[in-house]
Amino acid sequence: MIAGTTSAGTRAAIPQDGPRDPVPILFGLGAIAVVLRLIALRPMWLDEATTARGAEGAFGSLVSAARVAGAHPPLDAVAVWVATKFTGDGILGLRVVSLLAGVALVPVVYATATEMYDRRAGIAAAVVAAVAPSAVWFSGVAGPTTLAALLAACALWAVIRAVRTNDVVHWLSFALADVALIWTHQLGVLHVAVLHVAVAVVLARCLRSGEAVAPLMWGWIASLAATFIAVASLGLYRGFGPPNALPPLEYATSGAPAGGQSVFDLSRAATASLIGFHPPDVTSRLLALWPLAILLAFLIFGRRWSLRGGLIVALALTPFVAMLIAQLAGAPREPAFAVEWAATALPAIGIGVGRGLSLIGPWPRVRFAAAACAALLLLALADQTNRVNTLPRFNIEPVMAALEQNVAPGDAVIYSPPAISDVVRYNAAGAHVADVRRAGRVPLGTARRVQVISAFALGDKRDADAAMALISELSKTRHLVERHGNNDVRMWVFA
Amino acid sequence: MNTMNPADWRDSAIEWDDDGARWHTYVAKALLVLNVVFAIRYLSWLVAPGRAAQPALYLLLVGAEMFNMVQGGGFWWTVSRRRPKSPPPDIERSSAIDVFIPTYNEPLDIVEPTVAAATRLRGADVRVALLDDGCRPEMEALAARYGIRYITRPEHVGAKAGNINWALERTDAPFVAILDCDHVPDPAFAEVCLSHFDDKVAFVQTPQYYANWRAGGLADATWSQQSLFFGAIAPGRDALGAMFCCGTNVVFRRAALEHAGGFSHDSLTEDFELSIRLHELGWETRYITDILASGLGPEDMGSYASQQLRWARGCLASLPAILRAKLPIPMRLQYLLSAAFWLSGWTLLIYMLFPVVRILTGMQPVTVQSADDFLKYWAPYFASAMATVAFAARGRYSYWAFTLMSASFWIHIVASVLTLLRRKGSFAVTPKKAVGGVQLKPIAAPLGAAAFLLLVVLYGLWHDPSPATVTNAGFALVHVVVLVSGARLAFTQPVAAVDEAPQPTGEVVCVPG
Repeated sequence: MIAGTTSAGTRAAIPQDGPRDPVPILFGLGAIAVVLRLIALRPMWLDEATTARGAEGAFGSLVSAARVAGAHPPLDAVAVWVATKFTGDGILGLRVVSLLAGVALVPVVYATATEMYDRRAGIAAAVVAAVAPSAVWFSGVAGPTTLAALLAACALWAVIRAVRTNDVVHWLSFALADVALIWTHQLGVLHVAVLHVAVAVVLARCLRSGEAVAPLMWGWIASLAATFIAVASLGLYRGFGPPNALPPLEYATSGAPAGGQSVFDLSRAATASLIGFHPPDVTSRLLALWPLAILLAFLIFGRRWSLRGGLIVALALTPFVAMLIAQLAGAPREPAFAVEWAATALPAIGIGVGRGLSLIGPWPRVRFAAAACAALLLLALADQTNRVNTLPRFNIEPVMAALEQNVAPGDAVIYSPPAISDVVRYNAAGAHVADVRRAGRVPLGTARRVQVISAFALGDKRDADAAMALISELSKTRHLVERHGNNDVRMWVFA
Repeated sequence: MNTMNPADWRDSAIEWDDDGARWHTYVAKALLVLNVVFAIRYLSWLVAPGRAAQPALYLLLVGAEMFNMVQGGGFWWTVSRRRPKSPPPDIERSSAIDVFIPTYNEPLDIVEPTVAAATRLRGADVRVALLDDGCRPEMEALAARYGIRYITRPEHVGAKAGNINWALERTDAPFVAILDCDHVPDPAFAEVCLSHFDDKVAFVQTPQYYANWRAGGLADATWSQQSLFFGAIAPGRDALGAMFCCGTNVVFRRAALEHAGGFSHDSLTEDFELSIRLHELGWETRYITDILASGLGPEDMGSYASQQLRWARGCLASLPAILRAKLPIPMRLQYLLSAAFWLSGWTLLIYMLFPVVRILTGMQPVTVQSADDFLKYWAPYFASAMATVAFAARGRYSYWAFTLMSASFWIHIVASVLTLLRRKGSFAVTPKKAVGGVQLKPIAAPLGAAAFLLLVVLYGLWHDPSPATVTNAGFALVHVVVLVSGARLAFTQPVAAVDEAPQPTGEVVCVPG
């Protein structure tokens, strides 16, 4: 089993103690997690409009939308669709799945770290899961990141329990978590694959030491079969989808969790997966501390690896390695090196940090270290909450609010670039909507009013020129009655 | 094993999983290729035209990097040559063997378990002799109690080498085993070693295991350093026919020792120089990875520093002999790599210098467009080199071992200066028990360097908190943490062994479901 103590256990007695009763601490951390996530809620983001539109429509259209190659599998969208039937499609309703998953991550990470190491590591990891700025950020975004993180943690916990107890319930939990994860996140399958490799390694070691492996083998084969079925069915489902998807727009905004193209951007994603997103002045200085990664390398390589340690490192690295390979192969998932892709690594990172803190010594020292870690993360969270904001650079909200208020059946709404299609269509219910390149398909002549929206910050020059040409054309035949927006997004209303 | 002193780390089970599986050799060869590719890639970036910023600093950087690459290359090459473990040749030897246990000032409770275990060696006509250079009555009584020879000498010249040479003249078995007085041999020690002696073999060396690594702190870190050598480097050297004698847990062929003129009295590392002479004379050497004796490593910083300084001075003083010796090129390279390792403290000093100069003067060794540009070339080289050490040492080379080595940079510098000045050193026996209290002298240099670096960091961040300064502060902080971590070992007291020494447990335990 993935049990026993490491060789360190025989050295100068590393204590295995922890809090006597962790339940009150966990409740406290859960409460802190809820409060932080509610305090840090931001206005709706562009990408969330897609989710909102899906949640508002029929179940079938939602599932079809998620069939687009490049988009995440549909389980999160389904969960949101179900949730909004109870909570309404307000901003909180859209995010309730992420919020709940983000809070649930705290006890699940605790249980997993305790199962793998001890209660000290469990509490320290739970602290990270509760207050890490990245966890808080993604708990406030309608998207699959937090749900994927939760399922990744569940799968890890279940596999550890399954291998230790060989209990049917745990193997079943493992299989279910695997399937759910594969149907939630694009890179979920890699996480699941690493877990299966870990089970295979345990079995090989047991074989080598002459232990009976048959009972474990059956559970593993069954969970492996469930994984194959999940992957195959997802492949079939995806096979009917259109070939391309638009990149998430959230990342096109300055100060937001941007992706990038360089090794440095990969480091930025790795850093952000723990300490969240910060304005450029902070980010540049934090990344300038990259030599400290040398220390981290010394600490990681400079110790005897247990299978558990190797598993945690593998789970934490897998999505980043996948991103790097995709980048080197010239086929990066857009946005390249975005933290969203590393969703399944978040619990492993939390558990790894928790384990690192637990090695400091007896519980009072670990408690102090965990508190210091929490203080640092809260500081980072305060910076993220107060200073990372899309409004100064790319604020589509006022334009969308004006559109929603003014639009009426019979209006024509023309937008550019195509990337803002979802958010425009969401806010222009009842109107004839088309992007500027297909403006000819809309009855501009007979429309009650023509509203032209151009997001210059996102589109290329051709889109901007097309929008300006259309405005010029409309000016000859109609009156410009309203104008909204800023330098990045503008809307012209012609009556 | 020992009835007199049950609370002894040497009684605890040996933890050493060195199965030498075949796939290890394939991975090591693959890592060699990967490391060489990444090293060349980084080096070509480093020496590209226009890379130099401040010429003197640039030359220092290139020099330090080249030195480390050569050392690294030697390590990759050596570990990639390791052969899969095979059954011993089983050469029949029902021969006589003299077992020498040299001692000088070690206490009785350290020596007695070794003597007791030596008398239980099997597989040969074993003749144990206690070589007491301290002329102590209690040692004479000990020898009498166990019915072994007690050899002492009127003049104590040549330290351990002189002691052994004196005993060689007074014994006559065709094989001679040397056990430091703290190294308790396994009953199979002589039998296993003798089974590897074919006619050309001069000596068979076995690992020098520090059983007190479980005491934690410094002892753990020193064993970690030892295990990198005995677990990864020594098997590779053996495959290259270049294993050198480590002074204990070794069995010599008397004829070979006599051919080489015995141990040198003039060297601080008489075993190292003897190995060079033996190889030069055409003798072969063997190393077996089985641990066949349990010893004690240094438990306090003073003992460690004294041991390291002796090794460093001895090996550096051997450089001319290595260059003069008529040895095959791979063998000569192996000896050069081993001896030159003791210069690596200079490179650490150079690396520490760069952030200081950059923060205080703005000068830097290389022109770099961006950190990304540098990382693209350096990071793969660094990562693969780290992974190779971790793989080759099978995780036994710990962070603490590395920091201890780094905090000993001053020893390398002192040793090389003293060697250059041709100052004569004296052989100091490594104490086998910890001296109580904190020894500040051996850690004054690393702590002083760390304090200075910290001051420079604070000054730099106060005056110019730009990303460039932050990066150099980051480099300086890495040094600070590493030096303080190494020095910290001086403050840790070893845990005493208990009557029932803890048994090792595996990382993965298979429990029936």
